[in-house]
Amino acid sequence: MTTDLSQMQQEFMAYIRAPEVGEPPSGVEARRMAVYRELMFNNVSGFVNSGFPVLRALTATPLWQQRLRHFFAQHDCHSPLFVDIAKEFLAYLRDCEGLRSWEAALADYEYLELQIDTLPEVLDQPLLLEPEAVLTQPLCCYRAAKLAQYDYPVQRLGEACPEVDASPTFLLVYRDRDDEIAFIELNALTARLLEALISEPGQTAQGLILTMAEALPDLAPEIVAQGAGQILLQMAQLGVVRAATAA
Amino acid sequence: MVQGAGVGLRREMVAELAEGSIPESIGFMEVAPENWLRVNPKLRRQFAAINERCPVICHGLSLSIGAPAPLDEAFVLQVKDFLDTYRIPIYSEHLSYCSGNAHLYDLMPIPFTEAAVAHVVARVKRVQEILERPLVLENVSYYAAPGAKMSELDFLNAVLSEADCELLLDVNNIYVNSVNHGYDPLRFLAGLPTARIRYLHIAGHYNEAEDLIVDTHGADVIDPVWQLLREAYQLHGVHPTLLERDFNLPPLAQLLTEVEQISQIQQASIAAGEARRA
Repeated sequence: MTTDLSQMQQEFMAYIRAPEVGEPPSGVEARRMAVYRELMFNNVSGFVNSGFPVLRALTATPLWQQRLRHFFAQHDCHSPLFVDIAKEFLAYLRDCEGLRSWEAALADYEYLELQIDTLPEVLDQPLLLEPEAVLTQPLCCYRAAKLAQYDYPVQRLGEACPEVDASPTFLLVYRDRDDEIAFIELNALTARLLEALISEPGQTAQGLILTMAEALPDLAPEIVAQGAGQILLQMAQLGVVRAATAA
Repeated sequence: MVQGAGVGLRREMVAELAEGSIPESIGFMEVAPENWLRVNPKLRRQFAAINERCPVICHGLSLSIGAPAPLDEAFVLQVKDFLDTYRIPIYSEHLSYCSGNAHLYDLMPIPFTEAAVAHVVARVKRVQEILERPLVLENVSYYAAPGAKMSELDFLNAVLSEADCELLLDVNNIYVNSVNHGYDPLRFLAGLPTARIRYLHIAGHYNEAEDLIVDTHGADVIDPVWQLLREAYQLHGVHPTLLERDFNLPPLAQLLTEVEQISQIQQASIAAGEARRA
């Protein structure tokens, strides 16, 4: 390709992204370039807005628009898939200055929902719906389920709750048995149990109970065993704890 | 078989069409592979169910065939896998570009120059080689023609013939461009290579100013565009034709009245053609 062509295209794109910096390409009316700019900016903004509805609602419109303009002008997206625009916006946001204390965590959580929603179908982790099976078979954590730990209870944020105080929060975001996105807040014991299972899949309930009892020496082993058993049964009903199949 | 009149398959319609029956007036449907390569499994199953009962074709958005950046071959392979998995017979894209150093996710005008023809032709050939099927390229709407050294029609025809690829004739885009760039839409239509036409698009648009129309796919098709569709059939024969509607989506029943209008024009054009030959 001749550099003339490439250069012409780069200038065209640079002007669309940040018109205040340069001149319109020669021979092109500014209002025609404005059509491109608005079409393209609105398109990208639409994907960001739908990826971060809560963050959008909790940010004053002028500041949000400023962020979107800056993202569009400065942040290079490299994926051909629109679903990745939200991921790029999350990366952009992490480098933004002046974020509210919980903002990065909320954005991470909103993106996590989108990411898990669109993970590939899982065919090698069958459901365990019989309690007997949960307590005897090798277990794993569903691939379309992720644990997240935040310093703020970001799941409570919304138009009715625009601020939250810091408080350690464990969230499990997962696709439910009907493939809908869902989340639950976990207590520390449940989060630890799932972490143990994620780090070493294929363990049985017995093995996990032993691991937990060792990790919690202050609690009576039978209390740990009863608690862990209940948690595993509940998680299996949700489709989060499933049968590990031989690789 | 892709034939008759079609409509773009939007997310909003999927549940209704996957669970109910496909209306008889819909001969085929179209999706952007970029919107379906990574989706929730339930949505994917609904798509598969629709694809079992009605031919679905692909109309891409992110190939960026005219881009200054290297061709994203990994992406082309992803598209190929999607086409193969769902036995999709047609993959069309835009004679345009949407990325350089970064993706901008919308269509920009390739400068109409000899250098650009050569650049695009080499890339189309590579895509066809990877896909092992012809690429179908659409004449796009454009609002500016930076650096143009030849006409849009000469540019389009040079790419089609040198790359030996097919044409997705977008009737609305011809109308939009004829207003935006002051040319005769009929002459443009008559200058297109009949043998390369694979299928047609028709859509509504938005009037920004008397001399500036934006191809939004957000409104009903207007009468001059319907008339241009009749002319296209008369000049080039009746081809499968799809209604694009991406914004301000009306209920399906209302959208189908426009799909049915395509069918009526197709039937009338076939009848008129037979009468002329008789």
